[in-house]
Amino acid sequence: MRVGSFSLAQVTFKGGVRDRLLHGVLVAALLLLCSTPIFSSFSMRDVAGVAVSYTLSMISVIGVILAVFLGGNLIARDIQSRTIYSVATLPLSRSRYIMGKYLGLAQLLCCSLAILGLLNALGLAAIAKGYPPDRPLQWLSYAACLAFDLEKLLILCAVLVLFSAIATSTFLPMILTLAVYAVGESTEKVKFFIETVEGAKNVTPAVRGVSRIIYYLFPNLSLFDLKNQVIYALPLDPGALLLTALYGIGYITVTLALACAVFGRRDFV
Amino acid sequence: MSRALWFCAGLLLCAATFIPLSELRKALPPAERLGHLPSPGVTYFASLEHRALVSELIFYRTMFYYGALVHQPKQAPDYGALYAFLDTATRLNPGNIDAYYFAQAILTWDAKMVRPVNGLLQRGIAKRPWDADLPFYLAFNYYYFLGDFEHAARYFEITARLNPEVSYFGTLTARALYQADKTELAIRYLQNLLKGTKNQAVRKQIAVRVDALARIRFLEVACQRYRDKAGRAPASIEELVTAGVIKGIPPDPYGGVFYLDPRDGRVKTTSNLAETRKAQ
Repeated sequence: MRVGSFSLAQVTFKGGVRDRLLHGVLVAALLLLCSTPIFSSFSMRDVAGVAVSYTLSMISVIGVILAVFLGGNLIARDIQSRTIYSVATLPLSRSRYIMGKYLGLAQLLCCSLAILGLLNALGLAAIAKGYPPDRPLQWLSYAACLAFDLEKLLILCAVLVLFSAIATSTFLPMILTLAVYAVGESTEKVKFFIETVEGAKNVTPAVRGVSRIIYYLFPNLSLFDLKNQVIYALPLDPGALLLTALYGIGYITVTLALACAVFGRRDFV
Repeated sequence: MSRALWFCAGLLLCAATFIPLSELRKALPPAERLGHLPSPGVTYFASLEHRALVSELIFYRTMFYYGALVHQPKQAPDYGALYAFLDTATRLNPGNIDAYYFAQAILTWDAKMVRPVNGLLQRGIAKRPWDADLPFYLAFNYYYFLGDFEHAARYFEITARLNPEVSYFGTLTARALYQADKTELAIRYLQNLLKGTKNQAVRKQIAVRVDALARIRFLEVACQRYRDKAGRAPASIEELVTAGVIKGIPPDPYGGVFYLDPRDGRVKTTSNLAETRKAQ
């Protein structure tokens, strides 16, 4: 009997739900969300807007922490505790093992973001009732913002799984993934800057070339940031969103395929 | 037993040091408390996807700094630093209405930084095309502070288009072109500004300014009545009292003295509508 990726995903998900790190981070997240009325009350003109920017940033930060710290332990823990040897005896290919772990983590992140997003929506609705914003909150944009935030986290998880498939240490993949997150959030702005007249004057051709390579190699995470659309109730561009969603799926597919290939050739003896 | 003793000793040490430390921090000059920001470019890239939040945090720091200084009449705020903070806040998030509002309420009047604030407002108008307040502020600045009636009329027109429910914006467009009465316009503008703020320090500043302008308006109306009655302009404010047009000269809430400027015949004050503070 072959063990499927989905069975392993379920096991990973159940293991993750019992993880104390998840409980701790979620409790901290809820406490931070509870502080929203205090933080936003200092705003002079846009209490609801500040509440939206504060809570969406908090959810995003919590998501990155969960993705990196829960995901960082997924494969490394199996290797360090030598569970990987038992897994190797199961009728489960290495690619399915990687996919199972990834899908379990994805489920965990999806549930965490759904819980935080729902509770936050209730809080935001109450704040918007007390301090009506200039333009009413667009709940469709809010849901889209959370969905694209989740896709961003899934890209980071795929990157983390790739690094975990290569590295032997637990912390190195986590640190590298955080670096990819920082680069992914800035790369678009850097590219746009070097393409301006000012950028062309101040940046050498070599740096321009390296920036271009980085722009195409690293995930462009700015695309998944819809916070401004929610804060200022700006219209969404369905075409751009569809392209972004497909780009994210493509990047995840490529990264996981690489991770499976690398992990398949890895020697554990 | 020993654990409890250690716990109590630690607690005592914390209490004994923390309270004097808090006092020491409180005694620091506010300018030191405002501190410095990295350049806007560095802050922009370091904020990653949280630019809106970082922008608001920078604005909060600016507001708390100003709020602390309002109660210290001996020290003027570092307006240059305030502007730099607001500039960075609006570069990070050009939609940050709090930053524009604060710059307009404080920097134009107190620091006379009208042109730099106009630059900030232009940034805001580009990012908040639905907002009627920002073009109104810009129109007011052009009209009241710079005497540029052409630009003022253009922005009053934008305001009237964005907010047709408020009819006086429309009339201001025409008034700006005819250089209508500045004081009445200033009072209306400040009342609009006052309506939208919850911050007590800023509210207090605006309310005092409205009060001062209302007294100037009162004296201007009295001058007009004197002209209608005597057929000439009064030589001084005191003449309004001796002629029985008014019972007395109201005091300037900023501590100055009202007078008639012989060059343009307008009512002015020696305080120039700003509290007399020592420059830093």
